[in-house]
Amino acid sequence: MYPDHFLDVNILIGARVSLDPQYPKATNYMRRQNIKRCTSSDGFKTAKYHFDFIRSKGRAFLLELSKRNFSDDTYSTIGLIIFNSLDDFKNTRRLSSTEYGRLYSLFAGVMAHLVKDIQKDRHNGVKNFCNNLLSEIERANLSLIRDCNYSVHAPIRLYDRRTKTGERVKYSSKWKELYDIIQDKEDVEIFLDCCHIQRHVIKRGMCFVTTDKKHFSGEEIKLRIEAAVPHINIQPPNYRP
Amino acid sequence: MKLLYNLKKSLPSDDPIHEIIPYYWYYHGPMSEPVSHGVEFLYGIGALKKKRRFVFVDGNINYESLPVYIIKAVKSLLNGFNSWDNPKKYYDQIYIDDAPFEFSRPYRCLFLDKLEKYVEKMKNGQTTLGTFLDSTQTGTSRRVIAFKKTLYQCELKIPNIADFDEFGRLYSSFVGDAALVFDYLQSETNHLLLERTYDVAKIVCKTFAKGGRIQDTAHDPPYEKDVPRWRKDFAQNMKELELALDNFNMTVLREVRFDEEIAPYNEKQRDILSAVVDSYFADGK
Repeated sequence: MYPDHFLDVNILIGARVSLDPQYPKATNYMRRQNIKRCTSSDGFKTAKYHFDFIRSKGRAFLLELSKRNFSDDTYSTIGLIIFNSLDDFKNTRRLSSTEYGRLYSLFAGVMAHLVKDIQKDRHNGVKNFCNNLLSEIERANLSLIRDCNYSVHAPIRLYDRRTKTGERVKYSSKWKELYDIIQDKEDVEIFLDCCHIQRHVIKRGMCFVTTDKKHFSGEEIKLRIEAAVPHINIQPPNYRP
Repeated sequence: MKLLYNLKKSLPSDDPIHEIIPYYWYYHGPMSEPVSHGVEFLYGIGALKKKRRFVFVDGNINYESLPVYIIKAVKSLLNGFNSWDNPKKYYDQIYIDDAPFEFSRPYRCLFLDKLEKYVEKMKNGQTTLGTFLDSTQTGTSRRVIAFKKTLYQCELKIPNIADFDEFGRLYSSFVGDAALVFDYLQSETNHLLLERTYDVAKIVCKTFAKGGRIQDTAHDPPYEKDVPRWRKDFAQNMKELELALDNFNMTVLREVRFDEEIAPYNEKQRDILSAVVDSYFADGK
């Protein structure tokens, strides 16, 4: 496997948890030695966008939830109120299915803690939990910024695929070819970032590291992309040669 | 402008002056084009004089020609406003009493004004944010944390309505980066970083003002006709803010360095962070 790795957005985001030394499910990918990791500034922005989105929408939803009356403090009743409120929030804020899916997943993941906080303090439990959520996102943001920068010593070095006027360098024919395989515009762009860096900076073979089986690392798709773009090898983070 | 605003406030709600001099809430507080044009006109013909930034009535007011309640209101205002040398305090009081959004006052008075003073201080000599806050505040010993806390508190006071959803995301982006900058500036000096932070902080304030005046609670009915134009202006400013935040973020990436380790998480923190991360994977990414 090549020593130069380009990290997909899902690795940038996922690594925020795996950085915690106490976390039992850590992938350990970020701790593996002898790998030079990089990503694009646009990949970084997408990762940051996710944290900003969860921070602002999570806050807005929790502030709405704090107006609800939690007269019955059983787990199931509070849980029901939370999910009903989330449905209302989806409608009043006109969330897209992707946005709703992300918020739903977030609150399903933290349900036990949120319910416990409400049971402990019916009036301020939601607000207390909101403060916890904002603190954790700040920590995630901090670890992302600590990892990714333009320095040669950065754990994940940033590169741009931008012209002097600020536009992404276009590879029109390659874009069409990749879109036929990947079928997702954002993912085509991030992969083209990798191609650009491989061609103009690394100038030898490199890995594109991703957990995204649907668009990249599924067996057939991987082979088709690698055939279309020589010198780039698609790998999951737990791959060991 | 502000004096007439207070005068208007003191008049009965059915007084025709409410229609003649409508106000809306904007970047510097209450604004009114009719008042602004009127003042400019009077200034142009020499009926008013300008001293420093303020317009004074030249000569005595002819109270005889005015209704009694206006005479009372004017006299009471002029008596109450006995310190032309401290107009800032007068403006701040209007913000404290009347700002239609809970966000504006702490952001403007407790954060932006203080940041502006620090920028001025830095122009006259090097000092860290920690030292500056030490010299301007009393009480808590963790002053940079208190400074950051104002930003977080403002985040919770952004109007929780659809018009401010995108602003909320951009503000969250700003808070995330600004908090890192303030941690860094606590013990380091960096003019570029400070100026960029201040520039974006002003754009945040201006963008909020543009979004705020759209709301019914922030303008008198005669301004309803301007709302579609204001809405476009707000959308345009949001783009500018997004671009400014992109550039700010790149500056933070280039300028800020952290050495300390991130502390291990407890179970609750880990679960919350895992859920934040997992939510990205909800649509199969």
